[in-house]
Amino acid sequence: MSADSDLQPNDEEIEDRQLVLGDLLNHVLDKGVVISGDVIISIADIDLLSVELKLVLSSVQTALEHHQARPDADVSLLRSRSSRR
Amino acid sequence: MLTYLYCVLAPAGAEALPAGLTGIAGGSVRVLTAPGLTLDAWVATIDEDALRVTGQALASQALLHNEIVDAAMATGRTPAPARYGSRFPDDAACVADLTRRADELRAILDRVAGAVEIPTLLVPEKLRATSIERPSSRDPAAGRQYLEAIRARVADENRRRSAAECEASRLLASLGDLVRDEARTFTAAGVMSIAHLVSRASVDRYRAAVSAFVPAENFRVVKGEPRAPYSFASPSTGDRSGHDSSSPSRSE
Repeated sequence: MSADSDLQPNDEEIEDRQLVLGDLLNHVLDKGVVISGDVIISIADIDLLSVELKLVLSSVQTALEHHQARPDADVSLLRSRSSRR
Repeated sequence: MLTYLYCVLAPAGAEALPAGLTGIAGGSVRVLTAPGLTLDAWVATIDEDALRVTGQALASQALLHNEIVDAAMATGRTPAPARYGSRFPDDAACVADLTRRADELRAILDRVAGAVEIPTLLVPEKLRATSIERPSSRDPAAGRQYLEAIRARVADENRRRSAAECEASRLLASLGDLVRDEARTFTAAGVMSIAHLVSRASVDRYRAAVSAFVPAENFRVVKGEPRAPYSFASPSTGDRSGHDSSSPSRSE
């Protein structure tokens, strides 16, 4: 395996990141304390499945491509805060 | 302008808030306290239009919401995270709601005190297709074909769910008393999303135990990072397991 391939995440690693990120997003959007005030439901019309499988894939892929083009760029979409510690 | 709620914590006052913390739309996060309110609420004042986002901006905002909740976790207290998008017309309305529900919220905080939620995903070898191919409407047997496809899909989902439940139960059994509570969600893609409530002191041992778990050959384990206990903060389920309503009953 070359040094380059060591640095590049393989397909399974990318898929795992997407799954973890999608899982986090689903929890932030769909779990937690439900208060009696208004919950912004511009998202209510969004099928969470779409969030998980399309939006997230798109976001992660975009961020990955962006990062490959500009290695110093922010890729915060790929990592939760806790994983950056 | 509105009052946006990030999370609720056991009281420690404003001094526990990291200086200069900003969240969605750059709103400064502050601790909302009021006479008679025996909880700390981390809130920000933001413009209502800031929340009218979709697509990637929505994902980014939701992650920002989570970052503020993570900052609350970093104080050493475990918050009850609010769902993304929780907002009130003003501080008074927020205080009124939290005061009215203080007992319920304190019960949640007691439940999650000293713990974190750790996600573990059981991912099948092949993710499930998310849509059913519709036969051509010109095909005279289109209706029957479509119904058969739905039936096959339901059977496939039941098979996948059953296998994933079995693996989740094996995992839970292998973790023993490292897990204080569990919530499972079976996703449309066939992934079993498991949230375990784990004492902060046991996180390393938990991770080691999950790493040592050998799943069935048609699954792999994907480990997530500790996060706030979203899965265990909803009082509306009335279910102390935090079980998602879409998932089957917890296997002990």
